[in-house]
Amino acid sequence: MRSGDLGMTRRDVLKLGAAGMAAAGLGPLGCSRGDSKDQVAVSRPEELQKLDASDQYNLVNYTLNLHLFDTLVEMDESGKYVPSLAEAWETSPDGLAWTFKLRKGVKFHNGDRFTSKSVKFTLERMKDRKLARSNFWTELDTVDTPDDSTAIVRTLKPVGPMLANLITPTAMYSEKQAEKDGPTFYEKLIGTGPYKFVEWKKSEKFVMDLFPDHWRQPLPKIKQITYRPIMEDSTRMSDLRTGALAMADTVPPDQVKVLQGDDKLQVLRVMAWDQLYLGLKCDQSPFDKVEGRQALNYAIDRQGIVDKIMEGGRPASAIVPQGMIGYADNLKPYAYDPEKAKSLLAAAGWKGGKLRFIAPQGWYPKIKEVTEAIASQFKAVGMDTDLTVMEGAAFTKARGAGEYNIYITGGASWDPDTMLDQRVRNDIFKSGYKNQKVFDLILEGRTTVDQAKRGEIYKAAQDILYVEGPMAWLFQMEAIYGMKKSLKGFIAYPFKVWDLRKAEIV
Amino acid sequence: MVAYVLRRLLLSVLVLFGVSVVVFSLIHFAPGDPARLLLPDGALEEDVAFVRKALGLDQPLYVQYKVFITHALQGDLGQSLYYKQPALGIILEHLPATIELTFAALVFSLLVAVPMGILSAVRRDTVWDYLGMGLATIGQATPVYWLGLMLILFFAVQLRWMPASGRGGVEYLILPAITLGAPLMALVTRLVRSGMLDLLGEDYIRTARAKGVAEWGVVLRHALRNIMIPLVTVVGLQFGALLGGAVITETVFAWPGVGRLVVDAITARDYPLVQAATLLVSGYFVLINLVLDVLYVYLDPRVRYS
Repeated sequence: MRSGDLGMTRRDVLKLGAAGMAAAGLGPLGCSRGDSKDQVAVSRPEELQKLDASDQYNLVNYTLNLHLFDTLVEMDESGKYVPSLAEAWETSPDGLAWTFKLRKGVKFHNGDRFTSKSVKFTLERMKDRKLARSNFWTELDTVDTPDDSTAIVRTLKPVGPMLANLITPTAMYSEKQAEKDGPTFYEKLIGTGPYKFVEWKKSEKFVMDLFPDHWRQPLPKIKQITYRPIMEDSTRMSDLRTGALAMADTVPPDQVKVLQGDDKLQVLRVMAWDQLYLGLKCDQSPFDKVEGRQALNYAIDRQGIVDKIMEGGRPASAIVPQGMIGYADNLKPYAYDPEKAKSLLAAAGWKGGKLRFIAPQGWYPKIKEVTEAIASQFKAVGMDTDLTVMEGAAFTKARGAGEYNIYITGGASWDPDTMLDQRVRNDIFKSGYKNQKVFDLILEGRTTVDQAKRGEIYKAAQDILYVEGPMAWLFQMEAIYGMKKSLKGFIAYPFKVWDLRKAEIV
Repeated sequence: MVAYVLRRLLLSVLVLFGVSVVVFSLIHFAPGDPARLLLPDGALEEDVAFVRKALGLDQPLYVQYKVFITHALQGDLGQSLYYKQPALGIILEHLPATIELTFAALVFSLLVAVPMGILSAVRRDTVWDYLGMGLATIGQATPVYWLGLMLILFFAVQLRWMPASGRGGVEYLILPAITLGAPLMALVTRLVRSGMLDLLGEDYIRTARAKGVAEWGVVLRHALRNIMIPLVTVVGLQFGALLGGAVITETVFAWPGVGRLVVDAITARDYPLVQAATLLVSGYFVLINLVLDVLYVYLDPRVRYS
């Protein structure tokens, strides 16, 4: 081929190249470290969806609603119920009426007054079964409003978890605004909280500004909070490291060291009220026998998984996690004893074969590694499993239909009733486990309003479940947050909701 | 010409109808139940059944499809189960970001690939050629996902030249556009190089040289023009791949486009949103290809549609 006279071409190309470099070299294109005292951006791998607080159960909505709305009561970091819009409350002797004394002079973002009528509107609306949270309020009868600052919540049966039902998700709405704006009134996100809604660009950002007329003084220090849903872990960590984020939720365990190596960042680890467990099909061999279920419990090296795979968390023993009402401190996690597991398995009459073990893809960190380790521990004691890590929706379907011998799931909540009533008494995942004594105790706990008494009832139920239960508790998970060292006053609750209302950048 | 465009537009409607049937079947045959996913993990069966009925998901599939298509023909693509807002509005909110990203990626890949391909051909077997082909091989062999993460780590975390993710000014667009455009860039570089090598041996090129046209004139005016037809064809075909790649790129860069939206919607079995998004994105693809077909006429005067 002729080389030709390419002087011009070369010059052209050089020019082009130079232009390209100039474009690339525009340098730091306005990416500041974002170190403002007034504004912070935060992220977790979760997208906001429905804005109606009464119609969803997503952690991100709870978290943002905590800033936009107030609830009658709140739960503090130690798990204690504290006043918020209700200054005081008492229960009638029969447990059917809860009287809340409401705070006076509370205003909604649009200027409406918060009164007992707001409570009546918000709670009675929950009876609409189309709302995702209505199942927490099936026993609600009416809300009486003798005066503006008294609300009496009447129920058909005594409701043990009443206060739990009233926290984070039960955001108080303005009845006047709802009347004015019609069925989609909630899209305006008008609450009484210390922050007010500014804008929501779907999949991009959710912005809220300080509401200076909030009743709680002193007001929060941070003037503007921007929430960004960043699903990809590595990207979220990068944004934290560049300073674009003040806080990133859900730090992957293997990133903790990287963040700790950065002198501008810190890592906060909180034991969450979220424990992984194995659910067992109790009407099929070998889990139809108590010995079979115990064999499985002894076959798992919980400490090994916590130390080597999760690099955090702690082995679990029962359905109620440490710190929650009803926690049974007498129950210790099952020891790792493969020999005992083998003999129990023989006692259960296990003849061998493959057990169907299902797990949801992406719901929990390292779910694949954890289930593979467990499956190999089962194999070591003679329990062969066919492990399938499946897409979440398919998993939900299989689990709900009882198409498993073993499934793995976590359970995040802030009251023992949620998990016990759904997963044991109502057996929604069709484990086939039956013990009337346990069911009666759960129902008793659900209908007892004295919280101390409730705790004792749940402990009694767990004593039985520990020995023969349909669930093998694995470990309590940690919630790991990465944040700027300059961020102070950040609160992380054990129920995986965080709070910037007392936070500041120093 | 006008008749041709009209006919093509009518055909597009048929294509979109086909797409709607396929997507409807696929998403409904995938295991999973939106009603169950809408409620908390552990909701009672009776509550799930209630929601299923309220959403009309208890109807036979053909009835659901009939409802969907009847509404769709009236411009109503249904209500997203998760957002509880019209699906069309949600997609239109996300579509500009995807159009912006795919176009930036296209422009980036062509701006790099065409000069590089020409240079590699004209300077065959020199260091320029090796450089061009090396880049093309890397671009083609590198997974988009990995490339995105590496660009973030290098340019955002190490150098701090650009933000790691999000959408805003031009600086937010650069890394995602490079990531998404890299495979197309590689493909076009090789296409231009090999096409150019063939053409430079043609008689008419020799004629042009013989009559004293400067070499850059030969390359840019005579040869390049003939590369345009295969180039436009490939770009049209690859635009689908670009839209597919956008799903990954948008996830890596937290880019608020349709790709990410669809993935989330599929995970949540948000049927109306998945259907509406697929229809609109397919429409976008069909439209781009129509525009490119019309472009042929201007690139090659011999092409006539009648």
